[in-house]
Formats: sequence, structure tokens, C-alpha cells
Amino acid sequence: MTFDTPYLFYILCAYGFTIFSLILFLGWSYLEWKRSSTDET
Amino acid sequence: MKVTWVKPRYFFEVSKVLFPIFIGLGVFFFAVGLYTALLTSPPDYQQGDAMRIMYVHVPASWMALFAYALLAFLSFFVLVWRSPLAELLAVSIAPIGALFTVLSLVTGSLWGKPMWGAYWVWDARLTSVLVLLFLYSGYWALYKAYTHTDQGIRAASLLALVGVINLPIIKWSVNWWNTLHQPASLTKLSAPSIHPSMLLPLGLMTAAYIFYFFILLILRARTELNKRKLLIQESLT
Repeated sequence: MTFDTPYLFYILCAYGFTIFSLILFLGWSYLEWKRSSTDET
Repeated sequence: MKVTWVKPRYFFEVSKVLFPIFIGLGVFFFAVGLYTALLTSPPDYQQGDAMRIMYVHVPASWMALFAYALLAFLSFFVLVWRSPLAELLAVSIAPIGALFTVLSLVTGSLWGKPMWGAYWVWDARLTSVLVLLFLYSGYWALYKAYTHTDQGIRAASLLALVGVINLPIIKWSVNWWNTLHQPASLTKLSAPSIHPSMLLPLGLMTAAYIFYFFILLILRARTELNKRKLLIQESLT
């Protein structure tokens, strides 16, 4: 990718939003599982 | 007939083994997929580098549709056989499907702005995907609206089955109506109209999304089961 592309803002926003959302959702799901797993055998 | 594989206990034993494997494969495909998508794949001759948004947008859309098809399939099992495993999985899939739908809509609008000049148009494809998000939200709202989980899951399952009508509308909306959204570049019936150098990152990112989906599904289904165990324990004490 040429870093002076006129579309850099949109590309960064799309990839940034995707990665941020995926990590956030995974983290939230993990915390929920951790909270519920006190009795998991 | 005794069907052991549909028992939650069997599923959770298998999922414990698969979980670390899925994490490893998911991280691998994400790393290689992002590298090829952003650095090695060529820009499009018309859209330039903006086309790179496709590598996060298209897999998200596919996963949103796949998750809904799976949700409807499991909902059928819930309604007909009242399968506890199908119930756990269906309830776990709904938020994951909603996440992929949001990703599809947001990345799509970020691709639409530089290409169409607008973040949003009331195009048949975009509108039907928005309806898909409402279906996921409606499923979750119905499930949570009842005090008794049994009633909630049955009402939500019914909505999931009715909502299946939206899947062919999403798929063929670009063929049935004049839409701003482009038609499919990849179909089963013909050779893909996309170059292999672009097909590779698309495939890698799709694989990454699939593993991410199953990692989340296992995690959320286990959470749901634990919550139910706690509720039963509380009701007994």
C-alpha cells in the first residue's frame, strides 16, 4: 500500500474500527465467562 | 434413539480441546491476512487503495449471513425438539451475528463514502442488511423480555425462523433491483471475477473471521451454561 493514498483515512478507520470492535467484544465475552466460571468444572 | 453428540456436556468436552487450536489458527490467519491485505495485495485499477476495505467488509458480511442461517437452523431445533444445546448455541450466536452485521455496515459505509460520495444510501442491499441487524436485536430483546427463559427462547426462535426470508433478499437484492452496491464477485456457479492476488487476502481474512466466530461461540456458550448452573443452584438454596 502506498501510504500517501487519498483513501488512507477511510482505510485506517475501517481497519481500526474492525480490530478495535473484535478485541473489545472478545474481551467483554472473556470477562463475562470469567465472572460466570466460578463453578465451572 | 440416543444421540450423545447433541448433549451440552459432550459439546463442552470437545470445545475445550478445540478452543486453543482455534485461538492459534485465528491469530495466524489474522496476522497473515492483515499483512497481505494491507501490504502485498495490489490496489484496484479503478478504486485504488480504497478497495482494501473489501478485506474486512466482505468477510464480515458473509459471517453476518452465516451466523443468521445457523441461528435459524438452531432455532428450528429449539422449537421442534427443545434441544438444550441448540438453545445455548442460538443464544450465544445472536450477539456475535449482530457484531458482524455492525462491522459490515460500518466498514461498508467507510468504503461507500470515497466511492459513492455518501456514507449511506437507502439501497436494497444496505437496507436489507440493516433489517438483519434489527432481526438480531429483536431476537435478543425477545429472549430477554420474558421472566422465564423457556418462553423467551421460543418467542425469539420463532422470530429467527420468520427472519430467514431476509437472507435471500440480502443475497439477491443486487440482482433483483438497481442498486448502487455492486453485484457479487464470487459465486459458486461461475469463475470469480477477482484476481488471485486479491482472492488470497480475502480468503485469509475470511478464515480468520471464521475462527474468531467459533472462539466467541465456545466462550459465550460456556458462559451461558455457567449462568444457568448458577441460577439452578440459587433456586435450590
